[in-house]
Amino acid sequence: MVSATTIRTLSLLLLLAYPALIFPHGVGMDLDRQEAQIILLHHDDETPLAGAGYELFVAGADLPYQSGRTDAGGRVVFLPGDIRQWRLRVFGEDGHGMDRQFELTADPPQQGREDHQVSTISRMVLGLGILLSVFGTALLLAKRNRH
Amino acid sequence: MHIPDGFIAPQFYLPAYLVAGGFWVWASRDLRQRLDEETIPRLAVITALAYVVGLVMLPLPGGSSGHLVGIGILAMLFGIRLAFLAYSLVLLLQALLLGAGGMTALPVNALAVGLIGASVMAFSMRWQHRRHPLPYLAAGAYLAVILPALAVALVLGLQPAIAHREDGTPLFFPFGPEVVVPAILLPHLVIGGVEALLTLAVWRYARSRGWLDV
Repeated sequence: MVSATTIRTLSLLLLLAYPALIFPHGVGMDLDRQEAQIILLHHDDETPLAGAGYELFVAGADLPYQSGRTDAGGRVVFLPGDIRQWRLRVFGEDGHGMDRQFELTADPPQQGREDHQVSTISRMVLGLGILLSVFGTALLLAKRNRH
Repeated sequence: MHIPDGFIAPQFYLPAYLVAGGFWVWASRDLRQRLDEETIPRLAVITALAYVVGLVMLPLPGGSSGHLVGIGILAMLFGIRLAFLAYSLVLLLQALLLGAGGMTALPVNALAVGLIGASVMAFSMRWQHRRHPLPYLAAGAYLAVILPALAVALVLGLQPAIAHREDGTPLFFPFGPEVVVPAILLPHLVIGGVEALLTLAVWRYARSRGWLDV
């Protein structure tokens, strides 16, 4: 017959042997400082794309490496480690967004806002030029008016 | 309604390309007979207008922004087939040059905006009252924005049901119709009004130049 004192002693020893059992619902926190990669997302007028849902994948992976919403500055911050090839999907509820693959390099190109705007305007003008060229060609091939 | 690549599942955009391709062929038939020296410069200018207004962001109440479409003007002046072709060209250039909309979304946008939008406007032109055409034209231009927006919203809202992982996680656009329909339609209620005003302004100009008598 095992006495109650023996049972209590064995139970205490069991708990001490598995200390993790004593705090099964605890949440710990450690502070760390590492070098992170920042992706800046913005609207066409350069205002930050704040609060947009995103999914970040290692290129070729099916499950996201990280997902969430951009911060107030339109930033996605993550720790890439040694992985270079990535894919970012950004979803707006209204159907706007992007799905883009990119490669991290040691020295990312510094592109200013003015460069981006000039590039956009240049491409807009290029589009107008192409449109007018298409219709100019059509004009050359068009039938002549009879009146 | 510039849906980027990666939002629409191939199970949807591949058949959409087939359908759109059929309509592009239909719209291109007898093109040479319908284009003459007077029509082409006008079509060029109005297509350029649609290209530009589709890229200019207008601030909307609530802090969001949107852009005009121009399909009502194209359809009003040139009919469904030319408007569909011209707007498809606009979408192609916006996608290739500016990344505004993706190539996988091109047939969906072309069918929704270029075909449905142009058809709505063309029907309103056909049914317009001879003495009081303005309400018909305004309603046509307004609905030429709203109905395509609804169509695009429904297509996007269908994507989670069309393509998802075994656990139900969407593989493409993640929001269902209950989220995306109001998110797209509400801004377009305002955009449609501005589009109707622009269309009426162009209609007055076109009528004064005799373009609508042809």
